[in-house]
Amino acid sequence: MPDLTTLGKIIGGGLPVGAYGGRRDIMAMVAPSGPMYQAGTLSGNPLAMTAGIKTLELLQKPGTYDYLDRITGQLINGLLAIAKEAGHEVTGGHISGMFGLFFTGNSVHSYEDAKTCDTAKFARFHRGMLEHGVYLAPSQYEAGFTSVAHRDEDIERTLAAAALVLRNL
Amino acid sequence: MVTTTSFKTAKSEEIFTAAQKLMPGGVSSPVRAFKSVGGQPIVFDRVKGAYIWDVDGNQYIDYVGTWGPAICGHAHPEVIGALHDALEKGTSFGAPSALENVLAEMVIEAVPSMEMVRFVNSGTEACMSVLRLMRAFTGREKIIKFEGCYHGHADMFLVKAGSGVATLGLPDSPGVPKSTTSSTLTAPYNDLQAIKALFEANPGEIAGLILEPVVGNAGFYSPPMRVSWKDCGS
Repeated sequence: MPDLTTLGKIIGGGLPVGAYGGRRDIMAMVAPSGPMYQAGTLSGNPLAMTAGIKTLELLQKPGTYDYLDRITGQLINGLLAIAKEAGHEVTGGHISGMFGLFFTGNSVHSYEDAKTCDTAKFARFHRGMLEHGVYLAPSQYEAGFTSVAHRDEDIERTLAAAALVLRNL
Repeated sequence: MVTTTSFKTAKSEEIFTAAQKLMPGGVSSPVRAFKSVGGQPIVFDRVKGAYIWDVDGNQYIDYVGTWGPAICGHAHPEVIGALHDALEKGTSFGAPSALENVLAEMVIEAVPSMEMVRFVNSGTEACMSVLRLMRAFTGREKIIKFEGCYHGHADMFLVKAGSGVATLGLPDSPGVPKSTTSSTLTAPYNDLQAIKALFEANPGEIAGLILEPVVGNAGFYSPPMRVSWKDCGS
């Protein structure tokens, strides 16, 4: 269990929010309860809090994370299979709605591993997917994200586009 | 074919060309400029559910999700509805509101390591602040971060920071003084021995270590690694 945790943009549901927190005795050092100064005019902004509250409420609906895991697994496993079939060296994986794909024959567990990937090939893949109506993060060094709004048909359309692009890469 | 002839981005080109005269690289955050993949970035017009529409009317299935926050789908009707209601009450208070209690309770309930929370405006700000707190609480200055992990763009984290920095091929950023990063020690991700060695070499000096539990800014990968203070002998 970490003593302190930082959270980023997702708890703001698309508005600018971050947060840090942790053990009560450590957090008691933060001003004004303690001497460690940190402040912000827009911190706790009502619109950002509202979007965050509603987003977390939606995420708490039963089955959300199972759904994200299923749909994202379908996507990444499909992409890996299609890429391999087309003769490319690839590796990748996902956790919940977050995924990644590297054009490398190595398994990736560190930055050094990640740097062995073929970024030029990724660039061509990215362009091809864009032109076939799929928007991927414009860098090999960024993760991808699905959402509960992604349906089976979206994944199928994405894999069909990937098959076209990867065969001609 | 990898490229198609029917793909038109004339309006995106026009807007992005104008943007380059107004803002560095034409963007408000570097990765958006498509530097590492090349070609014309598309300019968004609107987002909904799993989809994006650009200014030329092209529709895309979106796998960026505004870098995570669109986890329920873009512009979810319930989120937009709640925002409409909130808008009527004003856009900023600069004073306490009951909404903060609600989100704080939800966050504390969801994250076992958080007994109290402070809201800020971005992940960068959260990491800057938590580092100050680590140092304030321990009275120590040095920190350990992992190669390829991104903790926002504050000076003391711009060491082997992956993401945008990796995209631009820069190991570091100019403008970050050595005096700021000299207290930032780095270790390869998933390398417990390297962490132990850093703790042994800096006894009683390390305020803490910071990591992405799942790395998302040097590509996506996850750790088999488990670390506890006991491992660090400190």
